[in-house]
This record gives sequence, structure tokens and C-alpha cells, in this order.
Amino acid sequence: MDQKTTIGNFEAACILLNLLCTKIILDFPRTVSEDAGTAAWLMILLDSVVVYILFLIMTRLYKKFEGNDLLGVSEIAFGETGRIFTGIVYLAQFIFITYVILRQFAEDIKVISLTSTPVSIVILLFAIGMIVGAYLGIEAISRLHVLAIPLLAAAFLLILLFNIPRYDVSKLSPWLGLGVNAIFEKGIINLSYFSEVVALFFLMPFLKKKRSYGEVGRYGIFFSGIFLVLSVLCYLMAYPYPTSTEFFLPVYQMARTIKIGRVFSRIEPAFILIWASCAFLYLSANLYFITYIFQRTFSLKYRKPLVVPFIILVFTLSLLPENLYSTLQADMQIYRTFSWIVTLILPIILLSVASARARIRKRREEARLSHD
Amino acid sequence: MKDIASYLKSILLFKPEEPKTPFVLDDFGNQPDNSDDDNRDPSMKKEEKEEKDNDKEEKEHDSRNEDARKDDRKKKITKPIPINSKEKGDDEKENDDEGENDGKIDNSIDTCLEVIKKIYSADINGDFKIREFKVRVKDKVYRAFVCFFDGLVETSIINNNILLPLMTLSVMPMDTEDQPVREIIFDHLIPQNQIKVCKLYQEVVDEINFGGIGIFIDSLDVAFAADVKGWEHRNVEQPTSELNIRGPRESFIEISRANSALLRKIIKDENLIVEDVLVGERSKTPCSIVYIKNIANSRLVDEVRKRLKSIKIAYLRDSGELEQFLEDSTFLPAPQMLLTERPDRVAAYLGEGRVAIIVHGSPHVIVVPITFFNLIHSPEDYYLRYPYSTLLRFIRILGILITLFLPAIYLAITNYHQEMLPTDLLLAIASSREKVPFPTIVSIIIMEVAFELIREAGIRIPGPIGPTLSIVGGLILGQAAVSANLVSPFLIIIVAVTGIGSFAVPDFSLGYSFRAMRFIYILLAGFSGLLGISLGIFIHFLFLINAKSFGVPFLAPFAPKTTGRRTNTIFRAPLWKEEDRPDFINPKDVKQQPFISRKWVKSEKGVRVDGSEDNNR
Amino acid sequence: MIEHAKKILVFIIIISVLFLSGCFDAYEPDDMAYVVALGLDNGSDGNLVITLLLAVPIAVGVGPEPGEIDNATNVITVAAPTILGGINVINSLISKRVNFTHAKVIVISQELAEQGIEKFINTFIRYREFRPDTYIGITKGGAEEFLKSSKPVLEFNPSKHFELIMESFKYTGFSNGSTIEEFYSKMESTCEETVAILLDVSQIQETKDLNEVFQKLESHGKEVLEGDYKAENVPVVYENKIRQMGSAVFKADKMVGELTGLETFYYLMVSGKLGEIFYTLPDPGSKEKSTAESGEYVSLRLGQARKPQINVKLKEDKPVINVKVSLEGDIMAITGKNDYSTGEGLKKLENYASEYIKDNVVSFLEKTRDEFKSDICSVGKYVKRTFLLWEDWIKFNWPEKYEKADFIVEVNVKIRRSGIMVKQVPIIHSKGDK
Repeated sequence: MDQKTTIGNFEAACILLNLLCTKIILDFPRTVSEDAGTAAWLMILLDSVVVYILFLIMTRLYKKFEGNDLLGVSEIAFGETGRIFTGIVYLAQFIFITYVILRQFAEDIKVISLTSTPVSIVILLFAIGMIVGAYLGIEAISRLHVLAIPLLAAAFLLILLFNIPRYDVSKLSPWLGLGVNAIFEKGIINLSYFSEVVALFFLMPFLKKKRSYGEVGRYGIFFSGIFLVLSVLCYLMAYPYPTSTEFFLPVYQMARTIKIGRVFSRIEPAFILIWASCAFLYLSANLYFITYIFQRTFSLKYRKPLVVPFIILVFTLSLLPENLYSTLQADMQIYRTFSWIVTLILPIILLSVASARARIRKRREEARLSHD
Repeated sequence: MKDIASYLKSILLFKPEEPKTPFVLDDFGNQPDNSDDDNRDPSMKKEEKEEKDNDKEEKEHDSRNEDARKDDRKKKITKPIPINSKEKGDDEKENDDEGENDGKIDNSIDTCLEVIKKIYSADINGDFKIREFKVRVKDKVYRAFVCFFDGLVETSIINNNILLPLMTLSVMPMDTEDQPVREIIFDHLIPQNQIKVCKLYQEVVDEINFGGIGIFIDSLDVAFAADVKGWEHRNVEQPTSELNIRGPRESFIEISRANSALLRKIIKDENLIVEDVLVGERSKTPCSIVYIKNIANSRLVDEVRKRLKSIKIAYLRDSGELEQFLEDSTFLPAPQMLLTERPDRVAAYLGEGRVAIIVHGSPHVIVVPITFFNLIHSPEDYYLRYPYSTLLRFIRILGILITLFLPAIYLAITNYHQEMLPTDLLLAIASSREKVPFPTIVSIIIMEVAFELIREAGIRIPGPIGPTLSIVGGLILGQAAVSANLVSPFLIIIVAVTGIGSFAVPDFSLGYSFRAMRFIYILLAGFSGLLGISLGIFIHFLFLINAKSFGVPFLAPFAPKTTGRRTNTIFRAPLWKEEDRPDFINPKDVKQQPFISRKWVKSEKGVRVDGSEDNNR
Repeated sequence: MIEHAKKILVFIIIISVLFLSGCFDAYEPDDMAYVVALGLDNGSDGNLVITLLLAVPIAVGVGPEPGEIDNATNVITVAAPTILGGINVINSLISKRVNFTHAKVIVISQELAEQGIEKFINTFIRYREFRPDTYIGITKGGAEEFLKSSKPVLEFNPSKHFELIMESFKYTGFSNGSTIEEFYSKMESTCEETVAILLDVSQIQETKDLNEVFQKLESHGKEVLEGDYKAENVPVVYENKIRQMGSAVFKADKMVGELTGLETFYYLMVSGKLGEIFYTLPDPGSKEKSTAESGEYVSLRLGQARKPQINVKLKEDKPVINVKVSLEGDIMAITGKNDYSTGEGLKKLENYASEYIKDNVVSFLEKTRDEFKSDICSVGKYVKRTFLLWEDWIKFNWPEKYEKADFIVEVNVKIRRSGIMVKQVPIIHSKGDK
């Protein structure tokens, strides 16, 4: 492994932002509006506040393990078996989300543009991009994020801006949607929408200014919170609640209705560029994390030879779901229901055990010293 | 491509590649403090250090033991010898008396003559001239001869400044009784400004090969080599490929020293260093590394020197060749160096802390390191007023985007995303294609290839026929192709606009890169529309981002994002606002002008000239 | 050698994957038949009669001179149980492949609309090629006839023809420019009902037929303003026989009635979609009993000064709907003798116009309540705002409540300018003239 790989904090924040926000252009606004009706934006707002607070706790706990990734922390906490166990858990998590999202992106492209191309070919196209990205490593990927994320964010905001004529605040009423209970019950599960935060803990060894990793996470969560809430808010203002649960790709639907005069209508194919760029960035970053975690878990010397085996694995897995619906189900029912435990609660447990053990060891040493 | 190929190989053969540790100039994390010139940073790359050490060892080997060299074939190649040993103070030549005996100039003039004749095969070499004569020093007559290449030297200088004094002036009374012959001749008898005392044949031979004259005198164990260059060459003329309306109109020529003089004419600074290196086993092309001592990063200069000295080739003819030996990545679809023929442009880059390489025999000077954004700048940007040059840059970027993407996007939209076009336009395109037999992708490729043909032929074509070609090309491609229903008229517009756009790319090499990449984008668009284009953009940009030009990331101030100002990249700031040199080059002095550079203004940017805050803005 | 073989193999695989598998979706633009309009009629045996209006590109674009080819459009009709099934049949007959990405209007016959159109509208929303901004219109005479009588006169491009016609509501106020997406989302909404454009084919051939039309009108003999018509009987003689005026009112997915052009104007006014239009009202100072006799009118150019303000209060389960409309406009023409450009006259005109429009708005709203029982003006969303929970809102059952609503309308017309003239000096007739 090239130890000299470093990425700036801005780069890391961009990666985090992209990992958290890519779901917007997939089905995120629809699924949350299904969960909480017209108050979905409120639920996501609460969720982002909760995640922000959780992250602050993690930052506090992480202080002792600066520059260590989560696997290193788990090794401190539970020894080598702990590291391998944690590694496998996160490996499974990343592989799951990568193949589900890969399939979703391919299906999206197939629905909105390449209707008669076989889905495997579309996945293959994405896979080529993933291979190159993961092969060149996190440095290149993160730098590309710096270039692309501002443009993608601007394009996304443009879609929202051009829809302003259709916005109607009263479409957000009834203000509490499906009720306070729904907001809180679903809200806990929907913490999973922020599960990609965990990627930051695997970026830790590469950060240039290791001191300020907290800043990276805070900015990442803050801005992705803004984007997530904004996307749901705008979508619900454009499409009233029961209709809002119908569209497969909410942001695409919004892009479809943009009409500025007679000539600048129907510009949504241009947004395929946004879709695909987001997909390439997201998927190649994820593939990188998969290979990185595998390498770290089993203390391998090289990372690059892992790229092709894992892309083959992910490719094959992504062809498993029978149809679009079962892909969405896999995402919703399995991943979004449980991933918050893995990605938000497990790190806290690992960190607190690790810091407790570190404290015990320190105390023991102190005791030994004083004993001596 | 190479990376992928070797990667695939590594997969198939299960032989993982050794991790590379490339030279990184811009190591943002642990930036070396290069305030001191000779202070080599301890955090320097290990490999680099080792290599340096190797170099030194090698040199020692060279001088001490020749037999040892024969063992290693690679080390057999001799080190290039600098022209002027004075400029290379710490050279090993001064203390190599105790070394080998071979190659040393003999006392006897006959031996010398024999050796020289043998070296130059004087009996068959027509343009090699030897003139034997006699010198009278201290009332004693010595046999002597001079040798030179006819045509390389200025004969009047030889006659007036070398032969005339040696043959006639020696009879003049001189107060030189106690001096040895060698010094009398050096001090009094050769009134020529550049003269070198050589102990080895090789030194004399090098000089003679490069327009010098060798003077051998009996009983001396040295020879004199005088610089009497006088070959035919081009004069300083207007630039041919980097034209402008504003600004100086000189361009470099094929003479290395004339080029360095052109630079010194602009930068009247004693810190401007012109460091000579010979490249090429046989051609022995003199190259010069040019930099400003107290601005350029010393690690950068070391790296340039190291790379330049490590090149082992037979002939070096042009800086374009040297570029290919120096560049970081051969297969990257973008140039990693700037080749320019404008001294003012090189001077501006030297002032930013970059390094230039002059190659004798090439009117193009290499500037390293560069970023993508330097390649889309034109020297005229700085001579024009701020608003105009900003507009110019905008148009240029538009040109680049058009060159790269227009045919591909046209193809993608007409073949995959018809809903994107306004209905009127779509119906017009559909009707214009009604009689065209080829699919759009085929006709685009036909037209693009035809366009490239015209362009390539236009360069090669003899002058007077040029207009004919453009008429024929214009007629055939424009009119006939449409009326023969070979292509649709819309396609002609697309191809023409693309061609015009490609001429707006200021850098020749970058233009080539875009022209080549355009075809890949066309293929990808034909394969899967906008998705293919975005795959292309993703991979293209990944490679560009991963690229480095002498340790500087290719898209530097943006990816990676650096802390310094990003004014002079895509757009330009007013000149008085550009206070900093680009920080990703790590110059020794980042400030290039004070915060308030226009001292006549009372206040600028909210600060008065005297430093107090201006509340009246 | 093996190295080389491997390289070549990898290269061949990449190339073949790229070019053998690709281009599934590539269609040349000239391989497509672009549908400009789609019509749906009721057929026998549970079939739909689908009519496509195809654009003929060579008649529109480059190639022959415009107009050289007679028909810029081509109409084809098929009977099939579903829309896309019918398209499949058509695809097998015509040389090109039918493409809907540039369809401008979908015309549905009134007969179908009255049965409910949820089953078709789903196709238009679900199938990617239909654009959300396609206009939706209802025609009484049948969609096939409508499409067949469409003959663009002012331009060659049939799609531009439809697009411009449907967009004209922005400066006429006689239609509503309802698009599929708007239609669908209002149809599904719990707080509002939807409308569609009312289209028809005119039977009027010559100017002398106009009298017949006036005879048939319900309001025959009363004062009739220019917008008091529906698409079928607009008194226009024109080569192009298709007409657009008024709105088709829906309740849920079933058509329940029609609005005339002027009523559509009030509909736009209350729902806040009014552009800048010409509006004619009787001269307030006219001495004659009926303006129809005196022929004295004032023409205004009216636009919305600000969005209409709507408040809904619940009084014992009975919603009291407070509508406040602010309009502003210029005087464009006065046919009577009184001058309203300045001072008192201006005030008088403003007050009169406010009252006049108010009366009409009230009767329009009452018509939606009593006749259609359909809240097309989206009043419901102002009620919805007062709710916190979705369950409560559904239980409240707004469509039922709307039938009992009371309307309090306030119209405020401000005349800002009076055209190029500041005042109008009456012509002094000679004394003997009287």
C-alpha cells in the first residue's frame, strides 16, 4: 500500500457529501415521503440533527485514536479477531450497498434512457468506470470529487430552482403528515440514510490534517443534511403527498417538467450526465472502500489486485435481484432497516470499548509505575 | 492505458506490481522549508537521495577505475561533459591528473597530429582542416598546428585573432622572460575571448565538434581550444505558431546561446542561472536548465537536473524529443510540458518559479512544471486589458469544450435522446437525413477524418498550392457531400464548428490531444449516448487528475485544492491583484508583488498605501 | 509471444464488447415517426379508437421548399384495446417507428371522458416517451375528426401549430393550458379537482351560417360577450376548423361539465393563473337597458395585480370561502361616449368593473359548487393548511364539504393607464343631428 496517499480535508468532505447525497437522485425523496407523508422533510431534518449529535459523540471518542481507522480501533478494542470480525461486517455492508446501488443506477439509466440495452451491459459500463477509479486509488477519486461535487451540486440546485413555478407551500400540509409517531418510529430507522458517514472513519489514515477530522464530518453531515432536507422539501412542494409516492425517480421527474420557453424544455437527458457522474463517483469510491477494508482486515500487502475480483463479485451480485422492485426492496427492507445499527451504533460501541480498554491499560500502567 | 495494461498483466500473471513512489513536488502535508538554497530537506524522497548517491558513486567510479566500468554495461556509457568547466565548479576534472594516462595530450606535436588525424580520419574527412605553422616564443621556434571544421567556424576570426598573432606577434618584444611558454601563449599570443586550456584530447575534440578550433603547440602537454563559432543560422524572427497582436514579437531560434540571451535580455537578473548539460551520446546536444536561483524551488531544479542527466540516448535533435524522455506519463492524453517559442512567455514562467530547458537546435523551449491551465493560456492574455482577456479565456474554454464534445453530443442526442431537441430542429434534422444512407456515426467519422486530412495535408502542402487545397476541400466537403446526400448539412455545421473550436486551443500539443480524444468520445457516444460520454469524461478526468508534471498535479489549484489564490487559472484577475506566485510550484518566494502594487492609488482593497484601514470606501 | 497474444485477446474482447453489445437504443432521427397529437375515441367491443397525427419531416424541414409537399401531417387511426397495443399495430404498418417524445397534445373524446379516464392517463404518466408537459384536451365531436380537421395555415410545422394554440391561454384567458402532469396530479389530489382544455371542430363553413349559431345559443337575445361561447360554437369562420375555447370540468377522473371561455377566465383569475388578456365589459354609463342594443363597451387589458387571496373559515361544518382578487389593467378602447380616462370617470369605471367581475365570479363559483360539485379552483388547499395530520384531513372529506360552501368574493380592479390617449374628447355633432 502506498503510504504516501494523502487527501485533503476538503476532498474528504466532498467524498462524504457525495456518499450521503447520491441517494437523492435515486429514490430517497419518494421513500421518505412514503414513510412520513407530507412531513418527510421534518423527519429528515430531525434525523440529520440526531446524526450530527451522534457524530459529535463519535468525534469525542475518536480523539484518542487519531489517524487510526475503524479497524484499528476495533483491534484495540477486541484484538485481531475483533478487527477481522468488524472488517467482515463492514465489508458485507459496503458490498451490499454497492451492488444494490449499482443495480439501481443501471435500472435508472435503463428506465430513463437506454430502454432496450440489457441491464448487464449498463452495469458493465459502470463497472469499467469503477475499475479505473478504484485502481487509481482514493487520491484520484477524491480529487475528482473536488472537481465534480460543486458542479453536481450546482446542477441539482438548478433543477430545484427551475421548478420554483410549481412549488406550493400548501402542498406540505397537513404539516405533521402521517403523525408524530410515524415521524419518530420511521425516523429512527431512517437514520440509515446517513449510514455512509462510516466511510469517514476509513478515510482517517489518509487525512492530511488528522486533527480536524471532526470538521470534515461536521461539514459533510451539515451540507448533506441541507441537501437531503431540501430535496424532500422541494419534491413535496412540487408533488403533493399521495402522488409523491408514485414516481420512481423523484429528481428526474422534477427535471422532466422543467420548461423555460419553448426551446429550453425537455432538457432532462442532460441530467443523465449528472446521474452517471454521481454514479461513477459513488460506486468507485465504494469499490475503493471495499478493497481497502479487505486489505486492512486481512493485513494484505497489495490492494490493487483485489479490484477485479471484487468488481466481479459486485457485478454478479448486482445481477441477482430479479427485477427493479426486488432491488428497491433489498435497499429498503434490508439495508435501510438495519444499517444504522452497523454504521452508527457499532462504531460508538467499538470506540467506547476501545477507549475504556485504553483507559484501563493506562491506569494499570500508572498503577504499575506507582507500585514500582 | 499502460497502467491498465500492466494492471491486467498483473492480474493474469498474479505478479503484483511494486508500489511506485513518484516524485512529488507539491507535498502539501509536509512541505519542506526551502528558504535556503543548498539546504536539502531531510524529508526528501529516499529514492531520490539514493539515486543521487548512486550518481556520485558512479562518478567516482568513472574517474578511478575504468575496468570496473566494463563489468556493468549500463555504466559503460560515459557521463556527458560540460562545455565550460568554469561553470561547474565542483567538477572532478581538476584532480584527475593521477587517473588514466590515455587521452592526455602528448608533448610531441607529431603524436598530437597523428592522434588528431586518427580521431577525425583527416584523410577522408573533407571539411576537417589542419593548418600547420610555426610559433616563435622566447626566440625559440615551435611547430604548431590548428584544426577546425570548415563551415562551422568564422574564418576571419581564425586569421585575425589566432593565426596572425601566433605567427607574427611572437617576435614583438615582451617582458615575459620568466614565464613558461604555455603561459606566454595563453596570456599574449591568442587574443581571443573564449579560450580553454585542455589536457585531454576529448576536451579539444568536443570543442572542435561544436565550432571551436584546436591549437596544438609542440612541447606543451596542453592544447588550446578557442571558440570561433561562425556557422550559418536563422535570425531572430517573428513567432510562427504562437502569433499575437499585442506584445513582443521575437521568437527563439535554433542557437542555444542566442536563446539564453533572449531570456537574459528580458530578465536582467544575476540570479538567472543557465546551467549546461550535454544530452546525447553522439549528438552531444547542449541543453541548458534555466531558472531563477532565488525563486525556483531547489528540489524542482534538482529533479530536472537529475532527469536530464539520466537520459542516455544517441542523438537528441529537438526539444520535442527531449519532452518525451522527460515526461512523467507517456500515454496520458495531454502534454505535461509546455513547449513555446516565445521568450516573453518563458520569462514570465521563470518569474513564477518554473524551470525552462533550452535545447540547442530547437526553437522551442520546454517549461516545467505546468498545469492544465497554463496550456490554455496565451501570452497575449497578460498584455490585454483584464475584461478582454477574461472574455478571451472564456471563449477559448468554450472552444475546447466544443472540440472535445460537440460531435459526440450531436451523435448522442440525435441517436439516443431525440426528445432533447426542439421539435422544429428535430424535424429539420430528420428531413435532412432522409436521403443519407449512412448512420450518423459513420458520417460523422467520415467528415471528421476528411477534416483531419485537409488539416494534415494543409501543413505538408507546398505554399502555392495551399489555396487550391482549401478551395477543393471546402467545395468537396461542404457542397458536394451534401448535394450527393453523403452527409446531412447539419453535420457539416457540426464538423466545421468543431474544427474552428480546435484552432482556438492555444497549445499545439493540447490541441492534438483534444483532437484525438474527440474520436474516442464519438465512439462512446455512438455506443451508449450520454452515458458513454459521461463514462469517457469520468475516465479521462481520472487520468488527468492522477497525472503529474514534475511532481505538480496536473489540475493543480482545483484538484487537489490548494490554499493559495486561484485567480490565474480559468479566468484572470486584474494584474494588480495577482500578488502571489502559484503556490503549488512551491517557489522560494511566494509573493511576487506587494499587497498594494499600484503605489499611486490612495487605497486599494480597503487598505491605504501607508497600511491603515481605508474607511472611506 | 504469449504476452502479445494476451494483449491482443484483451483488446479484442474490449472491442467486441463495445461494439457488438452497444447501440441497442440508437435510432436515427429519420427512422422515427414523430407523433404530434394523439386522439382517443370510444370504439365498439371495448376497443379504443386511437388516432395519431404524425409529422412529415420532409414537408417541414430542409429538402423540398416548404409547402411543396401538401400535407405536413399524416393521420392514422387504429382500433385496439389499449393505447400502446394500438401503437404496436401501427408500427407494423408504417415504415417508421412511432415516437411520442414530441407529442404536443392528447385529445380525448367527451364520451370517453365522461366514463372516466384514469385508465388512459396512467399510460401517459408511466410511459417514458410521453412528456409531462403535453396538453390534454376534451372534444365533443370525437378526437379522430378533430385531428383530421387540423390544418395549420399560418405555419408548416404541425407541432408548433398545436403548441402555440394551446399556449394562447396566457394572452386570451379563454382556455386553461392544462398539461398531463398537472391534470394527473390534480386528479389524484385530495383537495382539488382538475380541468382540461375544451376543443372542438367547428361546423361553420361560411359567414352567413353565423346567424344560425346565435339562434342556437342558450343566452340568445341577452348580452353576449366575446367569451360566452364554448369551443363548438365559437362564431369564427376560418380555414382551420379546429377550435379551442372553454374548459372541461372533471370530478375525480370523470368529466362533469363545461365552462365557457369567460368562465374559464374567471377560473384562471381565482386560481391565480391569469396572464395579460383583453376583457370587454359593458359601458357603466350606458343609458340603454341592454348593452346589446346600445353597443357601448369598454375594453380593458387585465392582469393579476397579485395572487388571489383565499381564506376559508368553517362555520358549523360549512366552509365560508373568502376570495379576494386584485386585478390591474389599462383601458384599451371605449366605444361609448363617456370618457373614463380621468378622475371621477376612472373611479366609476373601476368600481363598476369590480362589481361586474365580482358578480360573474360569484356565479361561476356557484356553478362549480352546484352544477359540477367540483372544487376546480383549488380552494381545498387553503383548508388543508389548517390541518396537522393526514388522517384528520382525509376524514374531513373536503369534496363533500365543498358542496355546501358559501362564497364571499371581493374583486378589486385598478386601472393604471389609459393607453396612448389620456382623455377622449367627444365628437361634437351638428345641432340638427341630435
